[in-house]
Amino acid sequence: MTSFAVTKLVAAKDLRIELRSRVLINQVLPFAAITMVLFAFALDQDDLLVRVAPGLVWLATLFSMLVVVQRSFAVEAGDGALDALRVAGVPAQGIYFGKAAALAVQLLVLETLLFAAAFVLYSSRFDGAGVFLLITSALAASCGLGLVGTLYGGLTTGTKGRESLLPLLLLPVVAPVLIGATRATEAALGVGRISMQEGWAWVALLVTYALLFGIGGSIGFGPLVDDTA
Amino acid sequence: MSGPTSTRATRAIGIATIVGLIWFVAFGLFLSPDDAVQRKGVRILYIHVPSAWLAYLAFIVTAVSSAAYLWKRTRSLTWDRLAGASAEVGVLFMGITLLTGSLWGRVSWGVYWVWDSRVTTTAFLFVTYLGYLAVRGLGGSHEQRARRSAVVALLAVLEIPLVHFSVEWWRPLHQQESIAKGKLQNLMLFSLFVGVIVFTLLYVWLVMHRQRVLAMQDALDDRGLEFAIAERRQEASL
Amino acid sequence: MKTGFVILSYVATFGGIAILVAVMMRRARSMSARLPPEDQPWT
Repeated sequence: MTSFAVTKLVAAKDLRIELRSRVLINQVLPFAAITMVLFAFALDQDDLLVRVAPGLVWLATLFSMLVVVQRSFAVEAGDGALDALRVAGVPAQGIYFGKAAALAVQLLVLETLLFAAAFVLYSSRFDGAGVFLLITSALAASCGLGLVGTLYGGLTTGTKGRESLLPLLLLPVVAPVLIGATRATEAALGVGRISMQEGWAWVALLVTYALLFGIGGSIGFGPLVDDTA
Repeated sequence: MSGPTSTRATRAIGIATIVGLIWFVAFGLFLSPDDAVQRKGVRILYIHVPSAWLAYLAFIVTAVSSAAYLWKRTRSLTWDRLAGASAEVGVLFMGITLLTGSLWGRVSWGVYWVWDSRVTTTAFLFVTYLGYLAVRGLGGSHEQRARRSAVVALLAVLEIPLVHFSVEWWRPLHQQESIAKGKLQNLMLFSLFVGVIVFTLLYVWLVMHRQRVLAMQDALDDRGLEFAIAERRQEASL
Repeated sequence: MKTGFVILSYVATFGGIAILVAVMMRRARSMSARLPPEDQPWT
């Protein structure tokens, strides 16, 4: 079975599991929404909120992502499904890209809803020209996050309290995505003194990030999940 | 100071380090002049700059040793332990870099921290390698630890340029900040040079000892297992 | 005032290293006592 076929199957499986269990909608989204409300409590100035809304949306996404990544591997851990797949000789790359794709899709759904929340809670405004930049940057960022999340999620899955290591490992790695996505979103929404051109430059960075980690992850994922302890 | 991990080599390096240290403190604190602009503050740089360089060197050693472990033809746990020891010393020197940098910033500009690309990337490196050390502590067999950490170390090599670029675009280094380190004359350059020598010797000495300690730790783990099995066998035969 | 910070950086750096070295040596000594010489090939 080709890697590509495996990718499609694994992605479809993960998304189907999510559709049936609705963990994203029932648990993660409320968590993210509460985070956005807490930001407003902490920052305490309404005119500031519009200005920092892009950063807050992406921060809420990153924190929620930790939960989604752990969930992505928890569904495998129960029956030792990941090990069974590997022992059966399924190519690790296929599994990697499949899970990364499913993770990216879930993150995109989350981001869409969070931007809607920002529209309501922080009075963010979206104008026509910026929407294209917004969508592209969200796509690029989500691809990168999906790839990196799956990689480090695979490393920290399993027993003996490894999951608590995920935030320490993952959050520094996704710093470029936070910087790039926030700047691109600021350009798209017209907040801050950042031009659309600069916004597109940041998108280029996000794409580079996704490419590099796509390559690095496809090589590293196999060795990382193959050891079990 | 001779311990169980000392050999002729480490004793020689150790003595050289202590001699170098005496020279370093003499020149760094007393014999070199105050800087025209920074006055005494420049003396902190004699620690800060060498420790930063050695921290970067330490991480390069970790990355190369990790690659050496992963490559089948050179696979040996010695590379893994070298990677671990070097990373530990690297974290130590990186911590010193951040601390002295912060103090220097306080003395020169009145602030303990700036969000520029150099400082931010350094802090980021520090946290990344703390993560690497945490991964080394995850347990499992020596080979599992070695392979896992090696992959994480090489991924870190991938991340760091990405982080550096994105932070550099975000907060470009301003002209003024590079001028601040500007022109050092003779005795000051010499103090810096002595600093680099001393820190390099210190790095080598620390890594040699630490690597042997890690080897003993692995040996103890192996012995521990044998011992436990022997105990079980004894119990079974009673 | 500046002198204080300079002294602090030297003391913290080399004092910190000295403490860590002492801790490492102590642990090394206890481990070495429990291991046979063939596990310590550098001696």
